[in-house]
Amino acid sequence: MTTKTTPNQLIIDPVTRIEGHSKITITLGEQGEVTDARFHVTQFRGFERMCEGRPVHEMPSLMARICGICPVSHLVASAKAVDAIMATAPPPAGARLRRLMNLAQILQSHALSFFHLSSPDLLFGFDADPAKRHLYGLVQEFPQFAKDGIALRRYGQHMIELLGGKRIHPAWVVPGGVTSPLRAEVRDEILAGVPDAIERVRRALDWYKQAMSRWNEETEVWGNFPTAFLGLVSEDGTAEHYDGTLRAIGPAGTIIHDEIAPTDFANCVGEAVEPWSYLKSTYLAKLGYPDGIYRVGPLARLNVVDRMGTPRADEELAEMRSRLGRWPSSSFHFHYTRLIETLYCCERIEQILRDPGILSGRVRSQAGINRNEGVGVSEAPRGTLMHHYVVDDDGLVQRANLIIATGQNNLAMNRGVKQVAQQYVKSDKLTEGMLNRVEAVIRCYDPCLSCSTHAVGQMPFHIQLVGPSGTVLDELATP
Amino acid sequence: MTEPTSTPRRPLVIGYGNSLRRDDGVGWHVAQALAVDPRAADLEVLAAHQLTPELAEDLHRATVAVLVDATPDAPPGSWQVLRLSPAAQSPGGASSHACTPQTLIALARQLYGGAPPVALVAVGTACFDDGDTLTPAVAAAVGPIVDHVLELAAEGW
Repeated sequence: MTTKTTPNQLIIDPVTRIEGHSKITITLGEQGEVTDARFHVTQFRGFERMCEGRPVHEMPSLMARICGICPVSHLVASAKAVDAIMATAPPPAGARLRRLMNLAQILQSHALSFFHLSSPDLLFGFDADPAKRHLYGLVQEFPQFAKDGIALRRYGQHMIELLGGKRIHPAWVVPGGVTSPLRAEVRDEILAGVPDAIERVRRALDWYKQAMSRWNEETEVWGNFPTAFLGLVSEDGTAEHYDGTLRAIGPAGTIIHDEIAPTDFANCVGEAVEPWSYLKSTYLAKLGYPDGIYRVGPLARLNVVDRMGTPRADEELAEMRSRLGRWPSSSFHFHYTRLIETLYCCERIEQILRDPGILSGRVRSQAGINRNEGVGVSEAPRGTLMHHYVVDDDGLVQRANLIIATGQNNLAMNRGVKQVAQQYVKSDKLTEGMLNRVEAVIRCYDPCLSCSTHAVGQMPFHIQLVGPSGTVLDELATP
Repeated sequence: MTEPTSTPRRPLVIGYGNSLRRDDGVGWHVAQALAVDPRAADLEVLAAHQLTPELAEDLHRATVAVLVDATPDAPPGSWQVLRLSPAAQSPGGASSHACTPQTLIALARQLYGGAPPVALVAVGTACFDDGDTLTPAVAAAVGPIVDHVLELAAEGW
């Protein structure tokens, strides 16, 4: 990390341990108080334009290239959008197999976020020496924790590889379903890993619950404000990551939207752009911009559902609600909910694999272009993901619009950064601990800016402190 | 956890690099060639974008390991073999996205109790531009590198 100080502005650039490139600008008033803070995504986003003119059948594999972290999520949402254009649906086994791969993706991504990216702060402390506050520090001082994280991520990745032929950018999910049925030996191999995965998640959950009182202060001021929440919900009110309908609730659980079909997403979600970031900000249309601020991702998903729908995750959800209330509002709780959702993924994977129909040979529907417009919605690790395509009669893409989870959390991330900055920045000089806290509140959301554009190399972070006259007072950046 | 602990230990080859950056992907291309080579039937061959911490367990389980990567610091199509002794490596830093061969060895030792002898085959390159084809000199070297990797894996040094 590097530090830059100028009279009126403080800059953190780049942000570390998140996916993508960004910086933060903190503006100070006359008395040195924080008056504003902004999270800037500094990468240009151009994927939607690149898709124009491409045959729509190419879209799933093309979209999977958007991100090396969650290619499966884009693959699934894209394939669903093309299903809609073909006016068809995958056979039941094909849909279950897509669901299975989506759960594997969420599992491995959550393991990466919690164990690799966030747990160094949680285990060593936010003021700990940055020289050991990383994965290898965990290996040396908390080896079981490191092994659990690596093993869970490996399990999810291996599952994706077994199903799709490779860990990253598998081309198995296609319009109409998947390219090949599940073999019994693959099912058995994945099933054999479930108990071990559950044991590792339980170990992390148990530790987190006994340790969480350490972070009472962080919980109070890290993105702790009332917002709406959005996520997919199944017909019976349980968690849903592949199908279902959209539900948006207010901070006290009031239903804002419910049973919104994916095709009608535009009726509840609006999009806005600001000149200081390449990341779009979305908002609930009924509440307007920017009052329609909402959050997606594990915290939102657990808030919008009635229950998870698997035994262990339901127990954990009930315990969480008894500890934190029915609709916890602090973004710090993304960590807790991420772990519960990881447990849910393990259980749900087992449920799906124990369904005898999972080995059916009918896994793909065939159809041509039967509609000129299609929407695909699924839950990605970081939140609800929407792909919307318009095609001509030959199936060439005329317009593509991607609404990614990180964009939906953009307003909340900005407000969270401001809240943390106002709590910790009291002068015109940054400290490493302050920088890490500002970064860590963003890490709660596990943002993936690579969905917007590809990141090259390590995720950088940049914070600026800006004085009342607009001068940069201080600046911090990772190299 | 994803493979039975009774999985027999065998030589491991990891070819890694970005196959969409021309010669940067030479390790990946070598791994792809080995994956369909009957002489490599007894090897575990992995093609990867980069080394990640998850590979530490694979490394730990192997009898010997051969890593194949691109280097800009050698004539295109040439290659050299660096034998990395586990005992000589310092841990260094490790991120969730990528780690060095030395860090991978250290992770295998620290987390799983040991690492096998590791050789790094560093292949000289000419071009890292966008593209999924190797330059002629590097492409011509893939076959001989495959032969050499098979020899290294068989040595069990």
